[in-house]
Amino acid sequence: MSWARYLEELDPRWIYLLVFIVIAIPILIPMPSPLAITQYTGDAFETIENLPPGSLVVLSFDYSGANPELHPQAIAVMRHVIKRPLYVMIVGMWSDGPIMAHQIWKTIDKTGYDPENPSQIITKEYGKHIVNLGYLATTALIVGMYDSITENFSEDFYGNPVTELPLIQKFDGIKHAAVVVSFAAGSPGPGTYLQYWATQKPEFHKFIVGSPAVSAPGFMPYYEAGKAGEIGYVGVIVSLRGAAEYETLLGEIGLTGATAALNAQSAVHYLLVIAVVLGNIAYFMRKYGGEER
Amino acid sequence: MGISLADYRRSIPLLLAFIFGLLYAFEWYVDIRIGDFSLSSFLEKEMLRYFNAMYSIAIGIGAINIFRIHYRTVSRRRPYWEFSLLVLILIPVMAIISTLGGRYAIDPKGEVIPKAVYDFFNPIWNVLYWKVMSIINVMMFALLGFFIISAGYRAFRARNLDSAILLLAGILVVMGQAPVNAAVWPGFETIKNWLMDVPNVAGRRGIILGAAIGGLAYGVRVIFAYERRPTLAGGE
Amino acid sequence: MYWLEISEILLREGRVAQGIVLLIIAILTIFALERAKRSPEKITVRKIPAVDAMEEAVGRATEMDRPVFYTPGMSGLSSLATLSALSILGYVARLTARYNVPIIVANRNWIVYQVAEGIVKQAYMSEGKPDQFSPEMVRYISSWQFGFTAGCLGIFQRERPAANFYMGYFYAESLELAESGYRIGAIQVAGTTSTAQLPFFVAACDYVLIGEELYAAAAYVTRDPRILGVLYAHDLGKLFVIAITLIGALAITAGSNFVIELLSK
Repeated sequence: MSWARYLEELDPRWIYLLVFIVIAIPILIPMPSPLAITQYTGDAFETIENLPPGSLVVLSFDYSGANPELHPQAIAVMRHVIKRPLYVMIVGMWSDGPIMAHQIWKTIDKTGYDPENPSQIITKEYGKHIVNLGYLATTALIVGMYDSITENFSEDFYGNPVTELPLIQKFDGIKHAAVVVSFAAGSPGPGTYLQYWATQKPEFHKFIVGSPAVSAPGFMPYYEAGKAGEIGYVGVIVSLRGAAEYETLLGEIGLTGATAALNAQSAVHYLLVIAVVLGNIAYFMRKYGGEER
Repeated sequence: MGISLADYRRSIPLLLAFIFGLLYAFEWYVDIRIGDFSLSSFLEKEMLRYFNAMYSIAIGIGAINIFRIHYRTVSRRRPYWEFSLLVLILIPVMAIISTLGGRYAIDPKGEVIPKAVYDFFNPIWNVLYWKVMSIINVMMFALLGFFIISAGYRAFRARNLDSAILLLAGILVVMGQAPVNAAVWPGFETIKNWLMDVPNVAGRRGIILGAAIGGLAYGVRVIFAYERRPTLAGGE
Repeated sequence: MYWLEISEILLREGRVAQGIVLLIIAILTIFALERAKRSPEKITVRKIPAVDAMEEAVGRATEMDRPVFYTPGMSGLSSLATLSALSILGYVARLTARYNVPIIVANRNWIVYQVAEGIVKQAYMSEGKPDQFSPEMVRYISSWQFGFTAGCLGIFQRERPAANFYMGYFYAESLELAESGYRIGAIQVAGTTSTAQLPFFVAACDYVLIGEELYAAAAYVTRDPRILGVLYAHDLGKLFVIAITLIGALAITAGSNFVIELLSK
C-alpha cells in the first residue's frame, strides 16, 4: 500500500493516540508559554505588585464550584497576595465562594514577605495575615461592613469570633482596603462593590475583576473608566488565558495549570492544522499520482 | 380550517393551537389588565405552572419506556443484556439515594424522615454525583477534542474551489485562535478577527434570518391549520 | 350583570414595529399559501438534495439489512426545529414501514418521545403494517446531554444502523454523533437551525439541511400540494426582509438612521 493511500485510510485510533500525547505532554511538563501579556491583565498584576507593604487586599469569591476559568485566576491572585507583604480578607457574594477560597488556602504555598517586616520571609498565618469572613448574605451586610466588620459579623467562615482575630482588630472595616478583587461568574458581581464601596472614597480603593471569557466584553467599558481614574476597574483578568498570563507574570508556571492547559490548547490547534494538511497531501498524491481509487 | 365536531381528536388540538397561538402572539404586543388580572402575568406565570405540571407527569412515562426496553433486552438475553441489567438496577438506586440524600433531597432537615437517613445517604450521593456522574459528563465532552481532529483529518479535503476556500479559512482561524499564535506571527490574530467578524457574521446572520422567517411562516401555518402537524391523534 | 372594566390596554414599548413586520409577513404567508392552492403551476422550486437522499438512505439500510437511526434533536416541543424534525420523522417512518426495515428513534425529551411514538405508530398504520410497529422502536434515552449522547453511541455500536438521521436542534454532541456514525459506515443526513453545529454536520455528514431548508423539507416530505405555497411564503418573507435591509443599509450609508429608528419603535 502506498504511503499516500495509507495516510488517507489511516485508522483514526492513531489520530486519537496522537491527540492524547499532544495534550498530555504540556500538561505533565509545565513550560513557560510565549503568551503575549494583555494590558488589562498586566495592569491588574501591577496594581497588586505596587501596593505599599501592610496594605489590605479584599478577595471576593463570586463563583460556585470549580469554575474552570475563575478558579485558576483565584489561585494565581491568592498566591500573589500571600507572596507580597500584604494582608488579605476573603469574602464571597456567592454561597460557594468562601468554600472555594478555603480549598485554595488548604493547599497553597503560604510563604511570603512579612507585612510588618517586608524583607523577611515568613509563613502566613490564618487570623493574623488572612481571614475568611464567609458568605455575604445581604446587601445590608455589604454596606455595613464598609465601616465596621465587628458590628456586622460575629463569626468568620470557620466559626471563630471576629473580635479575636488580630487582622480584624487591625482593620475593622473595608474602608481600610486598598484593593478589592472580585472573581465574578455573573450576578451578583463586582458591580455591587462599585456601587456601595467605590462610591464612598473613590480615589482610595482600586477594583480588579476576574471574569470568564463571555462576560469580559461587558467589563471593558468599566476598565476604560477605571484607567481614566473614574469609578471602574483598574484591571481585568480574562478567563483561563488571564490566569496563565498572571501565572507567567508571577513567575510560578504550573501553579494553576492554566499555562499548561493553554499550551495544550495551542498544541492541539497546531496538530489540527498539521492533520488537515497531511490529509490533503495524501488526497492529492492519490488523485494525481495515477493510482486507482 | 378543517375543524369539525365529528373529527374531535384532530379538531380540538387545532383549535387549542389556534387560540393559544394567537393569544401568546397578541400578548407579546399588547398587555391587558382588568383589575388585578394581567394577561401577561397570567400567560407567563400561571400557564407555566400547568405546563410544568404536565412535564413533570410526562417524565414518568419516559422512565417507564426506559424500563420496558431494558427489561425486554434482559429477559430475552439479547446481546449486551448485562448493560441493560445495570441500567435497571442503577436507575432506582440513584433515584432513591438522590431522593433521600441528594441536593434536592425530600427532607434534608429531618422533619419527617429521620435526619440520620439524610446524613447516611448524602455522602454517598456526593461521591456518586461529583466523583462519578460529573466526571463522566466531562469525559464525554472531552471526547469532542478527539473527534474534531479525526473529523478534520478526514473531511477537510480541497476537492473543489468551495472546499479549498473553506479549508484555507479554517486553517487561518485555527492558527489565529491558538493562544500562542502571537509568538508565531501576530498577523494570524488579525486575519482570524477579520474572518470571524466579517464573512462569518454575514453568513450566520443570513442563516439566522432565513431560519427566523421560516419559523415565522411555520408558526402561521400551524396557527391557521395549513400544516399537517404531528399530533397524538396522528400526523395526517 | 357584571361590569368588566378593562383598566389598561398597554401597547408594549419597542414592539410596535415588530408587530407590524410580523403582520406583514403573516399576510404574505397566507397570500402565498392561497396562491399556491389556486395556481401551483406558476411556482417552480429547486430540489433539495438532502430530501431525495432520505429515501436513498433508507433503501441502503434495507439492502444492508441494518436499522435506520433517527433523532429529532435535543430541544423540546416548543422548538420549531423539533416540530419540523417530527414531520420528517413521519415520512422516514413511512419509508421504513414500506421497505420493512426497523427504525430506532432516540429522544432526549420525554414529551417529544411520546409524540414521536404516536407518529411512528401512525406511519406504520398508514402503510398497512401495524403489526410491525413495536414500542421499542421509539426510545427515551436521557435528559442529560451527554447521557443521551452516550446512549446514542451505544446504539451505534450495538445495533449498527446503516442510515442515520439527525434532525432538529443540537448542541455540542452533534460532532460526536456524526463522527461515530461515520465510523460505523452509516450514511448520514442531518438538518439543523443551530448555526454553531452546522459546520460539524457539514464536515461529518453526507447530506445537510441548512437552517430553513429543515422547515422547507418538513413541508416537502409530507407530499402536501401546499408545500409550494410554503416555500413561496418563505421566499416572500425573505424578499421583504432583504428589501428592508437594503433600504436601511443605503439610508445609513447616506447618513440617515430613520430605518433603525422606525424599527425600534
